Amino acid sequence: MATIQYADVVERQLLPIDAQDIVTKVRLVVAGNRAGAEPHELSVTSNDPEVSMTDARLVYHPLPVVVEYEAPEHATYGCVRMFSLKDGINAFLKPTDAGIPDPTVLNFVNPGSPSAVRDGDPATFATYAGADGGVIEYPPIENCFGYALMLHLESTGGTFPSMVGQPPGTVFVRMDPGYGSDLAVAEAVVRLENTLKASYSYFVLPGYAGAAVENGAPGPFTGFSGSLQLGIVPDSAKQVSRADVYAFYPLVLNLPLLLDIAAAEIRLPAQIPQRVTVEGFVAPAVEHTIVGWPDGDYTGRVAQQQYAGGRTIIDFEQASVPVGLGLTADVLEGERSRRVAVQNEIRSASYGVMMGERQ
Amino acid sequence: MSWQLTLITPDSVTHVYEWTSPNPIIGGVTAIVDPHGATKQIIFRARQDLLQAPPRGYVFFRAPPDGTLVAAGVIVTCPPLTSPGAGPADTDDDALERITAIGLEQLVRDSVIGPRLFEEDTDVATIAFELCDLYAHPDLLVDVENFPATGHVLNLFYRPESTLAEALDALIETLPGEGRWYVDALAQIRFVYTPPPEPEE
Repeated sequence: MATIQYADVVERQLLPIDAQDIVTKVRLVVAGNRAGAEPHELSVTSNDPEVSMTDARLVYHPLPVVVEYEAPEHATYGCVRMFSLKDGINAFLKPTDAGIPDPTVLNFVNPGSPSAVRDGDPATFATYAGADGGVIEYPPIENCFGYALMLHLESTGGTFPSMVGQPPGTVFVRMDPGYGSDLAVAEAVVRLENTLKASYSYFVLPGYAGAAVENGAPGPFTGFSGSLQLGIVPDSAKQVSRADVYAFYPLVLNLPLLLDIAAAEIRLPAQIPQRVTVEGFVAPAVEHTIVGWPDGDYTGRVAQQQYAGGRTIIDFEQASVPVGLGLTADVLEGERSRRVAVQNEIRSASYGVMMGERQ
Repeated sequence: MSWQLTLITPDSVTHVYEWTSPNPIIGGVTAIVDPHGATKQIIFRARQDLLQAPPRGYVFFRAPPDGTLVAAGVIVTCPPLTSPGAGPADTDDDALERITAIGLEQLVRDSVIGPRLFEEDTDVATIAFELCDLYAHPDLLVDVENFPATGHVLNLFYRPESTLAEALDALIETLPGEGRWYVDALAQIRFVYTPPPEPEE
């Protein structure tokens, strides 16, 4: 931060406030739909002879996992934007986080504290011991949207393609939404296939669109907040010869991180943007203080600085046009007109076939 | 009758007439609208220290001679509220005085829709109405009378986390003929559809 004497100030001018792109509420899309992309529909067919309806088709519209941050100014401006989570950011708590408890286990040897399935160490693992079935179970946790799994499995059990009747030796993961059975979100059950080479995988499961309040659900869906289980159906024939679980823990939204990311996208209009021209060179900094300012010392956040003619031109609160390029308000107007024209061009050039084809 | 400009902020409603004295508005008001009545821009110059028009405030313009409400917009460019206007020698008079408002469609672009799922045959206008009713900016008026049935149905529509404007554009594109949406000077969202002419036999 530089301290500038008012005697060095050559000129001061107010800048027009640019309120064209304001963001006061951020919807950060974590999973289920990248912001602005076409949503997709999953369709699976059940062809199990034991199922009462053959060829039952399940259509699944994912309910995006969204973290919302609202600035206090939203009551005034009411501007909402959605953003995708940037690639490479882990939206979930680390397995060793205090917010994830140790699981209860039955017929697994799960050493260590934190236990092997959530210590973050790919070399440690829990081992299935016995033929009486087993379970690794986490208690209900809010904001759970999936699980991480690293597993070495050798089994000849669970040969039926579906979970109906839970054939002996079936190894599965069950996610319970924590609702009653009469609601739109059923528990999610996945049968695990043999995996001879354990690899680390994230399974993120957004809810179903029918679980949204606007689609008739009685309350907001906050994730699979019931229990999370990795289970082995009792198997007297010892069809499961090996089940080493290197990692198994719930994926729980890291809300403090995600709220920080969302808050960083808030864009408010400047209050008193101004351009101050100072004699000489002023090093770039995030803030400057002008001592001796007529209304009292002024400290402002620097938006940009320019150097021209032996002077430093500092834009406080809001960056404006380069010196000599014309009137600021005209440039703002021109920028907006250009942006609208480009958007219209893109829209007409990329005319796409949306749901419900145009006839 | 003269022109009238109404400024609405979260804290106040201010009416300025051509004869108001001292008049915070310098010169007149220019309003640009499209053939359907949707506002493109409202531009005027003002002393902000007298008018106190904040960014994202709403302005409504009534034109002479009969005071018809012709344009409504949301302020997107304005001088700081302490600006005393410009003197004759000021080179930055635009920054000190010019206020620009664009049409209230901006509020539709500032609205994001949620996971409302349409899975049954539903008229396109009904889908548009329900989305506006659920997700439109609270300062916009949504009346089912402004969404007349199109006669065309969709059996699937689902666009969570799109802007309301994008969703309405997508609905328009499913229709043959000509369709459009806009926000009129009364802040009402309108969904208008004109079917293609019948082919001559």
